[in-house]
Amino acid sequence: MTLRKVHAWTGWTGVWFTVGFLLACMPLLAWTIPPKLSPSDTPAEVKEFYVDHLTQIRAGAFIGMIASAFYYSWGASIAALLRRVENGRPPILTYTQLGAVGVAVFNSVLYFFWMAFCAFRADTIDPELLRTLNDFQFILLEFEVFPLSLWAVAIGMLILLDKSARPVFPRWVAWVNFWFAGLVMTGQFMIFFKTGPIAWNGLLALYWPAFVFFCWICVMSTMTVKGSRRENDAVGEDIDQQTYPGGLNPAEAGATLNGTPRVPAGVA
Amino acid sequence: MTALPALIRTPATPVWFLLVVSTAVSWWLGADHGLDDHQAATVLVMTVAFMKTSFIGAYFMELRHAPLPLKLGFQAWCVVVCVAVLLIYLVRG
Amino acid sequence: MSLDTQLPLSDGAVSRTAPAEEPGTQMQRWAGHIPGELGIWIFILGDMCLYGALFGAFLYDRGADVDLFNRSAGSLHPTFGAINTMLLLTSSILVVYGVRSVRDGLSRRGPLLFRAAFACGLGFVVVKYLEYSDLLRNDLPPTENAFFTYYYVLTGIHLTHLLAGLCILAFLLRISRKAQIGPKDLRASESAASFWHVVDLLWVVLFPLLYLVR
Repeated sequence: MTLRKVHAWTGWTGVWFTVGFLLACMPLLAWTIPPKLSPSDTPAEVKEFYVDHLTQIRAGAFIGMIASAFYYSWGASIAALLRRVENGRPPILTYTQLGAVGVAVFNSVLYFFWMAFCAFRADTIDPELLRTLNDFQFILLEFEVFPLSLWAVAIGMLILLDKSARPVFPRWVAWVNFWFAGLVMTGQFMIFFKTGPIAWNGLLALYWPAFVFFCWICVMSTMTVKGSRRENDAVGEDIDQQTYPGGLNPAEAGATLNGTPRVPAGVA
Repeated sequence: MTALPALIRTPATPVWFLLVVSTAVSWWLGADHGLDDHQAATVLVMTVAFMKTSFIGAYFMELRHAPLPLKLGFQAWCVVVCVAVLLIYLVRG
Repeated sequence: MSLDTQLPLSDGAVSRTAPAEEPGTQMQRWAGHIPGELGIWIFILGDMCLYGALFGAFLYDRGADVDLFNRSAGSLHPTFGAINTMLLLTSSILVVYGVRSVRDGLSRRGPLLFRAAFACGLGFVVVKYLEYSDLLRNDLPPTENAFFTYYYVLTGIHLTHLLAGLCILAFLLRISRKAQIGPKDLRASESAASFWHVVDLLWVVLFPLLYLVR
């Protein structure tokens, strides 16, 4: 196990998050993408769905909650890689990203928490109340879009401002971020509609933003894996003095750090 | 030769003229003057619209000088969306 | 293709500043030229995919109640849409000329052309404002029915693009006023112009789709 490998894996956690999230939401489990329910369903219909699918929904919430954890290592790894662009200057865009990661992870965690919460007493709860709780779940998922957009804009701007000879990410990746930032917002008016394309089960509020979101995650995951390998390779031999200012543990001295066995200077 | 005529001596100029004329024709067709058959008029107007997008891409966006994958990607959008739109219109409408 | 042969010397933007070039070298230079940069095309084609999906969704939902959609579309005034199409097509050709002037070093013409294009864009916003207020006066808000939901959403997203496009035109104007125009400025102005043409392109489809389909 080397740092280089662990860093590459944090890039892949974005894909794990995507797969876990979509798995949790598919019809066999929580049945929220595509949703079985719609905003125009009656309270009785909502209750019937919950009562008939209690185990599935709980299993979905469980898997989704596990997947959500991988979201923050992914977000943190992008911020950490791009920090170099702001090197020596106030890391404003890096901190913006870290704040956004927190909001985004919280949103995903709360979404699956709420799923489990709705199912907890679904068999005895008042149907009207259950329908309201269910609306909360969908509005929570689809309304939180501007913080995500700002996050992607921060990433995109750092990529465009990266003037180094060995850029962290290729320039075109910035445009993928802007594309995501601009076009994930199509569903923002969902809070006004109960039917049609902007209602919470419609094309513009659910399917398109989900498509854009997961495209973004997959592109950024791949680029993060490549970027973290490149960054680790570039640090090369000097890593020992930087990583272990107190000197490397003699027991570890012969072990590999970047895949090549060597003895660091000043220890042997 | 002054600068302005040289500036407008590009294929984009006749293309612009063509686009403006076809917009006027579509408007006239769509405003119940042209064909009695609504369906034929709609198919015609939508096909013309997607041909216009193809021209805008090639001449205004200068994609006709672009590498083949980009050119093809753009033109594929025009063709695929046009066919899909017409199919949905004809099947559902 | 026939247009190329009719105007053989007209399109080589580079040829005005470069001393008489062989047609062959010029073709090679242009053979693989990506307008702007690769990233902007990922953005543009991705954007167009959204609209492709929306066009399809609109017609699909139209199938559920054709009469309602036809009646509702009948209450729109195609004149507004047609004027707006003309405005955007004209502003697009002005931007084409503007980019040519920047690339050729005719930077005196650039600012004038981009200002004119900007004015056409503003004209679009004014017409859209008149149209929206006319519809709202006639009590046809987005919540009226499915057609009007689509109408406001499709034109609204387009209007957002257009407003972003106006900022980009202001940026183009600034580039065109620079004394020295470098390769980065050229790349940026081609990217910006391509985005403006998308605004035009989407409206060219939206106009018949919303106003003329029966």
